[in-house]
Amino acid sequence: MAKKHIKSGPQIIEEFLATMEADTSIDRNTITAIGGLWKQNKLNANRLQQELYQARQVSFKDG
Amino acid sequence: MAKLRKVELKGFRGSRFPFPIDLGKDCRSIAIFGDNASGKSTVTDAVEWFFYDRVVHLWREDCKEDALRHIALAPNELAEVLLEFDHATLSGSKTIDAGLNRAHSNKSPEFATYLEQSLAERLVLRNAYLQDFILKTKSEKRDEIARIIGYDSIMSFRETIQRVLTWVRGEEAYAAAREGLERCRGRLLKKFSKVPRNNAEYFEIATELVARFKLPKKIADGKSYEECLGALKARITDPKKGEKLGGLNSLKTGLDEFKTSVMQTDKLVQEFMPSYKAVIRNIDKLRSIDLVAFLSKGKDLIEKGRVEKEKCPFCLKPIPDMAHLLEEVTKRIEQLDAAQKEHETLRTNKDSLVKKLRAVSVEGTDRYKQVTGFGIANELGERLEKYKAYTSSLADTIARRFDGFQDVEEAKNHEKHVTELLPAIQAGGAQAEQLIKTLAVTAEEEALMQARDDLILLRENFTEAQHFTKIKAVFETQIRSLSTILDQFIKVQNTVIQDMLDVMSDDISDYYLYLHPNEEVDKIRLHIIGEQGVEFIYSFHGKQVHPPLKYLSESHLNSLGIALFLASVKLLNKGNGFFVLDDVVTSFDINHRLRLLRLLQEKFSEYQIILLTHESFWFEMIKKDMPAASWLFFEVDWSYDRGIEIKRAVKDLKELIEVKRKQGLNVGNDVRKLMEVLLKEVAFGLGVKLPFRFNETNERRDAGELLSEVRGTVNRKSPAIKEDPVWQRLQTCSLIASVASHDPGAEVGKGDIDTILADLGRLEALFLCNGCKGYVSLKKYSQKDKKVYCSCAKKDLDWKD
Repeated sequence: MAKKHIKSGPQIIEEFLATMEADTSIDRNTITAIGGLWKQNKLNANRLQQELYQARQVSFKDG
Repeated sequence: MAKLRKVELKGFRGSRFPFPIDLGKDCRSIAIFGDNASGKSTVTDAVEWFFYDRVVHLWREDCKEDALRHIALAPNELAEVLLEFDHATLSGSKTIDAGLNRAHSNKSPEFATYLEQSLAERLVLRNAYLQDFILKTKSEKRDEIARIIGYDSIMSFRETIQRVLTWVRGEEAYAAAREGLERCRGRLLKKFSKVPRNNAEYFEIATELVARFKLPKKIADGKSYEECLGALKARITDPKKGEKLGGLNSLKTGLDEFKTSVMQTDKLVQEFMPSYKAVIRNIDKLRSIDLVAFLSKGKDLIEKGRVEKEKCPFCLKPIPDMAHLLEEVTKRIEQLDAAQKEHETLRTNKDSLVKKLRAVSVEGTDRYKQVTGFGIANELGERLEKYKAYTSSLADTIARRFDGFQDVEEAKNHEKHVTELLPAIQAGGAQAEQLIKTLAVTAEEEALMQARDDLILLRENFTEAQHFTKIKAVFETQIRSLSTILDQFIKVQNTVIQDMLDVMSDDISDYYLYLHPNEEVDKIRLHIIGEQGVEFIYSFHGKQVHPPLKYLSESHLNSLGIALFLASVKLLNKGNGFFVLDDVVTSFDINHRLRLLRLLQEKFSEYQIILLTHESFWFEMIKKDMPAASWLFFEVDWSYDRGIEIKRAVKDLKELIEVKRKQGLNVGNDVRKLMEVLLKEVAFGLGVKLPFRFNETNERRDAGELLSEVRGTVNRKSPAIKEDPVWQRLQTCSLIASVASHDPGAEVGKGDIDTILADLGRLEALFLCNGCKGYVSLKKYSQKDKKVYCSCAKKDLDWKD
């Protein structure tokens, strides 16, 4: 049975995240937070919001 | 690709006793016929539940796991679905107990992986689901496509980013930073007519402020700024007087600003309270907002024609005019939508008011400290204290009571608080001004103090503005990045979905045109429409149109549904080589039914198909058209006490009766069935003639009719056995079995059943061969002997010409 090759949803997201990570116009902290949660299979709105909150606190202190 | 060798249900949905469907070692396809309500869809439910852990048509009606167990199951019995595959390692059963706990018997990691992968595959299509997709909105179609091609993760990723972006944009800290920055900029603009954009401009303004004093150092950094400020202070002869004067000036300005804030707050309270009171006076209207979802669902069902004719979908009472109901529901939804919008506006106003009340309370605390610090205006101090307590309490009360639609009594004295406070502020300001005048200073000193105060104000506001700018920038960096990620992801999402749609569209078009060749519809494609919607586009009389509902008939829409399902099977099913089609041809005409069979033969010959139908003509067509070598054909029946079962032979029924009698269950119906089946076997063998009937009604002969015709034939053809007492006894048996089967509560004793079974055994013995287990048959008639024989010729019966 000939099957057409289909990329899975996770495969597409991984490739997309790799492209975004290489895009210098994207904030490192933001893309790192998204990518990190995705890799741990923990990406949801609440977790991402928490990560971004932490990232902002670090930026406020650093800046 | 896994295929099924056996499906066996027990206590699941319509199956009371073990209901096995043996598909053989070569995993043959099967067509199952059963009348409506014969329980054949139990097979589909079982496959759907086994793989997806839900049965969509039940779940939609909010009937969930509790609808899966057969109603007559004892609490200690399990409902069970057993699937045996050609890959034995995948075989196993899934059970649900009385506590609705589900379990798979196969605990192997290989099975777990297989089951997880199967979730993304298309295994079941029912008539009820055929048009589901077609009737969805464009964005629902997009989500559904994403779901069926296993892109739920893509939808979920997009929704997460979208939601977090909205949250970050609405963060209070971000709003506070924007407001703080505006406030600082406003002060700087008012005082210095410009807002320094950087340190250089900031130091330039400071330098200008102190230019006339010819200070020894130029202001170029923080250190020199501080040194210049110190030098200015040193030139003031009476610093304490200067400080007091500065403080009083600051108090005067603060009181002016506070007065403005009090008046702004007052305006918000005056605007909010009457609208809030009006809303809570009409509380029923507000509570009705919750009905919008309910009414919208009903409206949707009416519009899609998924409600019973002339029956209100809300209260289930008869309703003569569905169009009028739809009109009324639409009107009601519009009214409630308006009420909802009104409530949302009120909520926004409430949020602004609560925020302002809290801010003015904090401001009141600051002014109170200043006023008491200068020991002036005791009355103002008292009023300020009352006002800040009042505004803080009012903010808390409004925030707490808003969602419960409760009255806010504190606001009744609002006007009194304001009218008492404003004159006190006025008086306090006048007192401060009076004190300023008493602290007479020289023009030079006044200029020095002014410059000092200006430098302090410049530094405070520039520093604060920088702080807010930084916070704002951090937020905006995240917002910009999330926006870019979201925009880029939507592009990727649309591209991959369109790629999938293109692949699917080829097959959909192919299958649809196979079912409807040389008709007016052509070039069917699934396309992304607008930003994120998906729709079927097709050529109709040479013109590109959408959606399908616009021109396609019910039957054509069903064909499109089947074409979509089959295309999904080809594209997505990687682990399973079988699928179930349950009553999918109900709305097809004869030409298209045959085409569907041919489509399955030509394009899906590699798949194992479980095809269920309640139409006997269609079933006969399938039996004739599908290759007998690779297809099985079953008929099923259902009754309350036996559940779903394959129409059984005499031997099976005898075994079933034995099992049920051991369990103390009523076997009246089974005995009646046994009698009918036995008489049919005899009638068939002896060529007994019965009145003509069409199709499946021919099968529905009761024992009385069969007995009468068989007995009549035997009387004419075989006088030797016509005097056997069994014929008379069977008349009584027929009556008792009929009573026992139709009235489970009837008093038919164990002895009665024993007698009937014995009589049936005697009847069977007249015609059945113990050697070949076959009945005597006219096919084995000997002209010479005037006898009929069984196939091994050991059993015979005299038979006249």
